[in-house]
Amino acid sequence: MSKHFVEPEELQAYLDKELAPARQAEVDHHVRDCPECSAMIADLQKVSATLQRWEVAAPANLKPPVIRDEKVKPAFSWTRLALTLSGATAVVLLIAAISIPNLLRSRIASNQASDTARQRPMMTFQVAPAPADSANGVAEGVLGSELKSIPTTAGRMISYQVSITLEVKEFDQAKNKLGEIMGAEGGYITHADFVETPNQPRRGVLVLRVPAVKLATILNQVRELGRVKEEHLNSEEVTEQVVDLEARLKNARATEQRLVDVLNNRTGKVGDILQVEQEISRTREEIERMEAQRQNLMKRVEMATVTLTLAEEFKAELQPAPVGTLTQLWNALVDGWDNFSGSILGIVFFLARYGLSLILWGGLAWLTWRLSRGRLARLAGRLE
Amino acid sequence: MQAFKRGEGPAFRELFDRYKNPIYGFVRRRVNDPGRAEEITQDIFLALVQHRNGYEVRSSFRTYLYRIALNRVASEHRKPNPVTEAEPEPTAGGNPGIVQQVRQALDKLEPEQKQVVMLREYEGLSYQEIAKVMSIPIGTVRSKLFRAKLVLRELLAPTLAEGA
Repeated sequence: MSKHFVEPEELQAYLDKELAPARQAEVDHHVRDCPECSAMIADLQKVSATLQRWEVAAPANLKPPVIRDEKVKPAFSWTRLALTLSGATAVVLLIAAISIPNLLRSRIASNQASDTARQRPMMTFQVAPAPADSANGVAEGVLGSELKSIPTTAGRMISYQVSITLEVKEFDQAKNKLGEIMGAEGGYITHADFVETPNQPRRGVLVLRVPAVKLATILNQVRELGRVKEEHLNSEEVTEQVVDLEARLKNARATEQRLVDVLNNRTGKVGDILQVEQEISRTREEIERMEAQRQNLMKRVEMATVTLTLAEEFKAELQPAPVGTLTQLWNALVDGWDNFSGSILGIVFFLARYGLSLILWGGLAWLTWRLSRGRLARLAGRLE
Repeated sequence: MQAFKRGEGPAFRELFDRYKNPIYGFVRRRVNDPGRAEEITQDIFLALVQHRNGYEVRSSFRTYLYRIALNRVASEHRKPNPVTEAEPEPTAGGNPGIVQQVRQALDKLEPEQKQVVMLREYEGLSYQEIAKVMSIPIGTVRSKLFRAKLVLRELLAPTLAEGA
């Protein structure tokens, strides 16, 4: 009887030719002489043969899937990687080329602004003197030829309110330039409010009154002071109100004139005369009120209101990098050396300043002590 | 295969023609519905195209393809209402009764044993390929295959006797 040196599992591997060649030969040799293993192999072959009877035929019309995009997820390519990296590098360099000069400019402006702030005890602002109120030529002014970028309608009186938000690099320079513009164009500042917070960009809100005829010109100059972040224009037509007021004024003045005529040609009772005078007084008050209203309207038409918000460009301040341990150690050594040399110098200065005095007074003290000690000894000898 | 990886259509067509029958057989033996088996076969080739960048040319393409197929069929079986109704067996020849007995015998095996036997007997994969497809050690493949064969020998004893 042959010796079983073949593991049962090896028989299936032998059948499948999955053993190493040398082992395959050994098992082959063994199987020939071992009826038990031969029977097992025969059984395993029968099982395989039976399994193989389950056949599957693919349908003849089996078609490949419809691939909409043959180039989906393209294969890796060094060329594509190189191109992508080159593109990314170019973009980064472009961004750096644009942003670094601006950042540096902001830093310089920040430093200059800080220096200016340190030198300036209080906020000052040069404003042009407000022109005297005048209602002459109001309609012509509003509809004047200089107002090109703002829509106007012929024959109408329109009051303009503009609000602009500007971001400026040089805050103080922008303020000064604004003052110059107001002075040159006949505008003035009715309100100015500035906020300056440490480590924050400065901000200011100014309410300007500018001649409506020069509104477009002034706005163009103002826009050049910085970068426009927001701009709004509101207009209100006041033609009807002015016409109505003027008609009522005309009637009131005619009434006043008739009352004055009645008073001049008085023939009635004293009570009637007093009543006429009261009526004249009431009419005049009404005329003055309407006149004030009319002038106010005219002023609004003549002088447009511009609310200007100046915001200093945000300055990115670089945070100092955290100090490393070696640097801290080096700093400590430097500080130690400074302290040591300072101590030595302090002693030297002390001796230079008080040394002679110390020697003098110390010597005297020592002599006194010696003398007193000698005397005391002698006195003690005598007593003994 | 490299041409296919570059996205060349004719290369894909050649691969499809070469593997469509084995892959359909693989799916059909695991999915009862012939129509569904066709769809899944197409899905497997579609997944092959979509994930062709995941294939490394150094490794065996057959292993890669069967791994996709195995995952696809497994996901089909995980669906809540898989097609379970037995269709008439697709036999190109042979006795339908024997085929039914073979199916039943295979179904009685442990899932891993069944996969190992089927990948070896029907797909003709080597032990190493089976180990890669199923992510198990090659020794496990050998032992599972042998044990599965022993179980099948018992289950198919009447059929084996008839065949003898």
